[in-house]
Amino acid sequence: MNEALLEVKDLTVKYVTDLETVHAVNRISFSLGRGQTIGLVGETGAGKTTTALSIMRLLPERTGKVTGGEIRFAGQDLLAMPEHEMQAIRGEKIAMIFQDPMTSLNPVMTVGDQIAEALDLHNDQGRSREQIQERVDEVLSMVGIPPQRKSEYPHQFSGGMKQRVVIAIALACEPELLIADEPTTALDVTIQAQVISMIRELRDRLQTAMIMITHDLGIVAQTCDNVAVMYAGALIEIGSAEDIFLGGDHHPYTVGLFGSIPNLRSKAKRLTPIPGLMPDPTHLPEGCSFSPRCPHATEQCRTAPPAVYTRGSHRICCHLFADREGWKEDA
Amino acid sequence: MYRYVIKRLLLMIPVVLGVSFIIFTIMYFIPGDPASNILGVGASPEAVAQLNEELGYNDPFIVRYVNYISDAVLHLDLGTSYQNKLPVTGEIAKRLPVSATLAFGSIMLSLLIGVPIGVLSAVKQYSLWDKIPTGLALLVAAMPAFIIGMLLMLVFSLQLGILPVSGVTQGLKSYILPVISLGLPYGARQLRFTRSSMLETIRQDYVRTAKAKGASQKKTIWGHAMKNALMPVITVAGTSFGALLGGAIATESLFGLPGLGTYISDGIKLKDVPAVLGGIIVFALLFSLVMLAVDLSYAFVDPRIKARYAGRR
Amino acid sequence: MGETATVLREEHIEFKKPNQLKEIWRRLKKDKLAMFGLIVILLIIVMAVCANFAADYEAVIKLNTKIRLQPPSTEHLFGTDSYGRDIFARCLYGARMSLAIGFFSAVLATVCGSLIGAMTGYIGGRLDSIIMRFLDIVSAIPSTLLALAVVAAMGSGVMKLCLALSFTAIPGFVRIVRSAVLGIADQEYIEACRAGGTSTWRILTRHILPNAIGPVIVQGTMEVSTMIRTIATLSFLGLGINPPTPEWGALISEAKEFLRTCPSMMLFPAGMLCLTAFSISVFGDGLRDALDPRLKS
Repeated sequence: MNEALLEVKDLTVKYVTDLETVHAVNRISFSLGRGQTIGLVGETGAGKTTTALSIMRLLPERTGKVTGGEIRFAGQDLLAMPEHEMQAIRGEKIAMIFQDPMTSLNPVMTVGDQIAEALDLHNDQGRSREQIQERVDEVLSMVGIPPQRKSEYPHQFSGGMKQRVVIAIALACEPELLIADEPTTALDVTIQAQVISMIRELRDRLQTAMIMITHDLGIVAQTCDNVAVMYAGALIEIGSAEDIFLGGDHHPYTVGLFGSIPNLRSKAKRLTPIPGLMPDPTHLPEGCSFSPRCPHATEQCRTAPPAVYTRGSHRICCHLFADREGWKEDA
Repeated sequence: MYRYVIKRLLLMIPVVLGVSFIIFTIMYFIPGDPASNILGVGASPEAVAQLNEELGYNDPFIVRYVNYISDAVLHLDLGTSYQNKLPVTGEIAKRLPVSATLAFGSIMLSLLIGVPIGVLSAVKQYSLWDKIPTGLALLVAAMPAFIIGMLLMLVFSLQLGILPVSGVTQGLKSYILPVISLGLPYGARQLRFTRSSMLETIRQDYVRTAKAKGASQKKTIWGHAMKNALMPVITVAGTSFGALLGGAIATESLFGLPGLGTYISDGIKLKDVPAVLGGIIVFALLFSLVMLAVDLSYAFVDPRIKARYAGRR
Repeated sequence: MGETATVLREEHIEFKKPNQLKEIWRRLKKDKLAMFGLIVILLIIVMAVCANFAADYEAVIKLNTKIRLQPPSTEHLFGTDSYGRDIFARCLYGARMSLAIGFFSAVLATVCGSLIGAMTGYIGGRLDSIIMRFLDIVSAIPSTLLALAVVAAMGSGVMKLCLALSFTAIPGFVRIVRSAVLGIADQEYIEACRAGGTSTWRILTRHILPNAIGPVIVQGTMEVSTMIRTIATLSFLGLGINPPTPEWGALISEAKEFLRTCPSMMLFPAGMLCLTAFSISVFGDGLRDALDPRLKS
């Protein structure tokens, strides 16, 4: 890995309301090189979106709080940055594609204006009005929408087309980092494939680094260089795509995750779901948060939080790897 | 769009007819007959009976109603007031500008107070910028306009003597206190609606999208959220304007403004049936027109609604 | 498989709601403004009920022109009015009248409006469209004017006044309950109940009513405040409660002429009226938040 573009270290995020405290993200660390893609995988509620919003510094203002760790982007500490500097980074250097295209676009503003706004906000080159409009046309055709449609409103577009518009907004300023938060979950299966291949192609063309948040392992396999698996706010396994998809050693949760997907090639008669539910994030269990559901859990797992064990680029957070050959505890 | 407007205008007819019918029916039960009212206490029973016959008072209820409506529609004749023997239509035409000025001024003031403060308290939810204005708004909204009016009158007219106590003799200056006493409670209402509408809007995903583009707080609020939050604001302003046209009775009465409201309430006190009927019908007509204007203004705010209007047959 | 089932049952027990009323009360108690409102309302009710002990009704109506238009003193806490009557006593007895009319007409409107609303919403079809058209028409008349007209037709009297007032508020309740019934009847969980063979009666009582009752209670509470203000407005115009019966609006109306010479005659009843209306509104507001925490983030 060359110099890291994004470095997340010990990030901890809590949602605090007067009733309860939700431990959404617990001391997660990962880094991402320029032009690379990392997949953030996990069940709903595992803290993937919270991680993304923390990087964007768009956590719900009153409740969402980063209580520890740091996020460094191109060497700068994002969490320490004053809001107006952060505004200059949002949309220009780091852009985000949201989950639901149906609600992500302003219904009373034309599609063209919404793209132009991003360009207008980061108009460092001093583009004229006409130049901005030219760029809007360019971006629209890049995502496969005829530029004539820029004067239409979001309600005149289909779901897939709306998501293309959202992508166009995100890519208008050619960001260095793109965060795609389940960009295809709300779309039809046929459209999903189109949108994913388009994102991939544009990423390659623009040399953008990307965080792909999804619970679809197929998408991860298609797009990512590295994969991070999250469970109950913690990063339990991280490694290169080969480590995760081809390697033999995994966190028991990852094993379960792969077991939950139908595989046409293997002849298994039934899927093996992971028993139970994710723990209540307001009261995480002591020790390993996966221990209540883990088939290999021991007394140690229920009382002591596991350390991180590494082998090359592969990192796993599980007691099982304490004395496995080739794995050593991370300092 | 034109089709929609025409359709809506046609739909107003049954509403106004319905209003006239309801009020006509209510008035039917008011004790006393028109001739005794017109001729006064000293009139001979024969004269009363004859005038009642001439006025059609002895006709069946439904005939009287149909006659009334046909006169109103064909000749714009809403009858003659029992009280001052003047045509109701002319009297209403004279009083309407007073009511309209009062209503318009009050709505403008309520918007000036309610919208900016409402937005501010939504954006700064839970802070003092939110708590103080919303608390004050609750207090002011709980005060009847005539009490605010009396307090203002006490301070500005009686103690300081800088504004007239009553009447319209001093032109627009006479409207200042009435407009404030109505504008404050309606402004408080507007504030509360604007705030909740804004709170709803700033939680929307597209507001987050705007922030993700790098837009500042100010730009997201005024550029993205405001237009979306506008519909309830317009609706409240519209219904308030409608209600104020005829509903400012106590304020008109307190400040001695010769508006539509006092015309109707005096009519009720003096059992002046034509005045009451005419006044309320005109009021219902205006109210329906204002609500149509409100609905049409939605089309300028929201392209989806515009598309729906245009699509209607 | 067995293990999954156990875990699910445990989850169910864990998430089972605590007593709902207790939960609402707990949330309400946290809202300081609402609690302030509640305490003030209770105080005023107690004062109105116990008015006899503070002053004889005699003091309320007996004229004594020798001591007219006095400012507040230890003998007459709120001063005296233009007939030399004690304003404090009149305010107390006025509270009885205002509160009684306010509560009674609000309850009447709530009950009638909810029944009509539930009926039209549930039966639907032609009945629904006729009633809704009728309400559209009634809503085109401002409520004060409508109340005035009804009062004029029926003649004055406390009972008739209540009827007239509640008549104007009925459309609001019909709309609330109707839309609640329609909205809930369309929800998927009701669909699921139907598919599961739950009876209509059970759906109405167990699912639809509990969902509609919140907004109705809130609106009913707010309506008490509106009613108190409307009755005051009518009395102010000389069309509500007639003198010498004390009612806040009537007291204020009497004070109109003496605004310059004796402002206390207006200030005290006006203050009582505003305080009561304000307390009821803040309590209603707090109740809304407590009943439906979804509305509050």
